[in-house]
Amino acid sequence: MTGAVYRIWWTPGQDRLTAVCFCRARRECDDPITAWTWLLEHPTDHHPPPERCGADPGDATLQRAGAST
Amino acid sequence: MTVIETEFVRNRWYIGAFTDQVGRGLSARVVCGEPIVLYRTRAGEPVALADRCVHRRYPLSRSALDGDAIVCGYHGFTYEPSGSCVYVPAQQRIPRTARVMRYPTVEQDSFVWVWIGDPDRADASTVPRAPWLADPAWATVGGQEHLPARYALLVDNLLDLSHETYLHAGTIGTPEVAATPITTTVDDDNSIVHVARHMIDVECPPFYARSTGIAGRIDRWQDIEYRPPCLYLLHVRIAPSGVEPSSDGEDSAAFHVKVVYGITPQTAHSTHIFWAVARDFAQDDPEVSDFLHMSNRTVIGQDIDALTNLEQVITAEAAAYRELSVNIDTGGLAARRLLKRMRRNEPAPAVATDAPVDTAAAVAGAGS
Repeated sequence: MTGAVYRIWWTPGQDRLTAVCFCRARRECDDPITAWTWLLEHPTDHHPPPERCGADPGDATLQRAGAST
Repeated sequence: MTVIETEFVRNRWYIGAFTDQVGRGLSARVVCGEPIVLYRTRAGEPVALADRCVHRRYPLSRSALDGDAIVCGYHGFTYEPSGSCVYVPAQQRIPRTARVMRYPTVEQDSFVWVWIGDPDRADASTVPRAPWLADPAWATVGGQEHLPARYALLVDNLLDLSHETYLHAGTIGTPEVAATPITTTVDDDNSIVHVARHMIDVECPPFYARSTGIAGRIDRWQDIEYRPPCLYLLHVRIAPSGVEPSSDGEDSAAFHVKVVYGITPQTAHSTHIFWAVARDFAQDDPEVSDFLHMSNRTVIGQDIDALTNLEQVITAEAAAYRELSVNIDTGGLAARRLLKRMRRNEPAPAVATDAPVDTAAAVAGAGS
């Protein structure tokens, strides 16, 4: 058990989503595909600050999960 | 490109029936493509066996009970609750392979759960819970419906309740449902998806106005808890606007409803829905029970119509097609990912070494 909990907030009054990893890394995203992809693909050692988290995420994982745009 | 999955997750518990649907009669059900016969022994134990006689595949559900054993209605092969054949007509020898699969069962929370995967992996402690359904402090209505669509479409539907505004206007849908943002949380270790939508100072839909008696505006919380693949719980809190739970959690001024969906794939393109609505108010009022039963059936009927159409559309389309996912789909996407992971982690099917077939006849290609 890793205690992995992922959370995505949809900010009231906005269209933006805030993705928060259990390692406390967070990123604002425009859509849920990007949010989930970043959550699942940002560095797996989960040591904040997640410097790579600001990079443009690929969408391979969610595409594999059947979640396309 | 996307494919809405039809593949099952076999090594999970699924609701096979409501407890009161399993009795001393034989009832047929298909779960994840497996034909099953359900009955109850004289001691009250639920039994789930493969619904095909090993001899000529006659449905055992079309047969009869002799004590706790099923006597095949075609030639009299007789099976104990263990699935072992104890009688073959007109001969002393019972072939070693004369047995049918017995599926593990657990009776819990007003459901009979069945396990159609590897029996050695069936752990009764992993059956997901819906304790309100068997709690006398809650009043429950429920039913079973047939959905002629793949189960993944129902999962999509239930994880995004913004559709209530459009598909269920007049019962549970109000403009605020679609207009209220959600928070999605995934407990990855335990494979649970939570989607929270808390609507503050909103219109009370007829479903809750008539059942609770609240006349004015309300705070309406919808907290989804999806335990894939088989169980969906919607924790609903309805309270007069501004009424909050106290700091110690006491919340008796609010009305609470648990909406439960058992999602049991029947075939790749059809699903059993076992639904229940439990409430902690007006427990002894039959008019409220009748109203909630009727209203929820109306809601489910609207979903079934929509998903039946959707199933027909995507079945007719190319193998993969394009969708557009937006914010309201955040929970549904999380559920798809967990389901995909579960399917990927399924153990390879065991190679049958003693499959219940007549080997000599198979080799000879003998037909009837």
